[in-house]
Amino acid sequence: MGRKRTKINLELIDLYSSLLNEVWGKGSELIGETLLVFFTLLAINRTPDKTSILRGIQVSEDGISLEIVRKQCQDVSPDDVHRALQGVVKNLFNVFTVITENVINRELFSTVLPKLREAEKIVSR
Amino acid sequence: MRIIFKNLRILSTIINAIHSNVELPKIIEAAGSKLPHLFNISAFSILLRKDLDLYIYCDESTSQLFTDEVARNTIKTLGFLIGEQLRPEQIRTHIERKRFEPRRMGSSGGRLKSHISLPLINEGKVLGCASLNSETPNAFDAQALQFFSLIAYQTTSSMKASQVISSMKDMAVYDTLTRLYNRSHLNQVLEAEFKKALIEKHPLSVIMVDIDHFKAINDRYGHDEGDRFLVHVASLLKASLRKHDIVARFGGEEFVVVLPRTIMKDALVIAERIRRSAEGTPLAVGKEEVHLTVSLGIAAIPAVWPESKEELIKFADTALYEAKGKGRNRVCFYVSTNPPSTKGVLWG
Repeated sequence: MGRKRTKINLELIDLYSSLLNEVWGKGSELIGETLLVFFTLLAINRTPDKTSILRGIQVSEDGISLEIVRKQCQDVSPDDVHRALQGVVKNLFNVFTVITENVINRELFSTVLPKLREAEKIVSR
Repeated sequence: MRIIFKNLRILSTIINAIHSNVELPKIIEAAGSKLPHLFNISAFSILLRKDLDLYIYCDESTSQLFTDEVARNTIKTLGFLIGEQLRPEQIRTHIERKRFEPRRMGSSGGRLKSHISLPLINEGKVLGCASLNSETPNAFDAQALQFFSLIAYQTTSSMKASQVISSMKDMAVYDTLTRLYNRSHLNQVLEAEFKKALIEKHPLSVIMVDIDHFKAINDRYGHDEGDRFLVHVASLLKASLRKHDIVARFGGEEFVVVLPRTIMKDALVIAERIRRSAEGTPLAVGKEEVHLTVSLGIAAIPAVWPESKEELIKFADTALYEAKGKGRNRVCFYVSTNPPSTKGVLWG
């Protein structure tokens, strides 16, 4: 049971890591790294984090890393991992909506939405 | 391809215009006048977090309704970014209406239809928020955002330079503790007033103020409380003076008041007002009430004829010394024992 849970968590983290890297790549092209770091931290800080896994997200002008989250997720349920990371993505999109209406989101929806759906599938397995 | 090059050239002009200005209203005007060449906008707005000043640079044809919407949206966006609810009544709004060139296309009845807003960030801290505002729906695309983010970065960088310059200017003029003029600025001001008094034949008075027993106060209550006493006296001095009088911290617990166009008799009234104000306004230190007193020395042209501003100060200091010698908490004035100098003769 524990091993299966860890496997699902790692799969989820890989997926979110890839999703956030795509957001980073496109976002930094559009608004630059300094603003993107600020928005990402804003999104993380505004996401409820009952398991504290979001503290493990590292954000710098070099990008976003979920390596610490990966190491610390053994005792957390896949549902909580998914909910926390999905919350960050949703909040980040909310920030983008407030500041640029749909300019950034339009560029990102096509790559991000399928990944979010895939994450739902992994959790519901 | 040609359009991209043209836009890049315009972007470069805007960035240069921002870069070559250090005062915010000028930065906004420099950017605002050129932004319509690059974006389909009716207004450019910047809201600063520090003083909550909102600058809106808009086309002359925009309605009051539009600028109100721009103001509300910019305030809301900054509030969102800093996680605080900002109330419109906290904001000082400055609106500049100019004829935008080239003329805008597709205006749709004067309402705010689209915007992009970016925070002005320095070392992770939000200094403010800049917005492009349009009466056209979906007026901005990815390229507009890319360009505007460069403009926001450049604006932040110019604002940083502006803040450094203004804090350097501030340090050159004001005493950091009391916010009165510092000694160096006093020298400049007094030099000018001294020359004016001689050339234009105006009276000029100087009062030297010293807090009585300040060393004992510092020893008893500590240096932090000592600083509070200095700030307290500084505020009493400011409150006791007229609009055109000048007050500076001369050093330690000494202050100098310069009274342009003021004869000895009037200077005595002001000095006595300061003395009474200090005596009658105790300062609470914990449960204790401390009654401060000050001693004051006055020197006034034409009652005396100093050779220089330094000598005028010296005369006031001599009078102050006399006030201390006579028991403190009093006002004394300098009486010249020498005949008037050449300057005095010219004046009279």
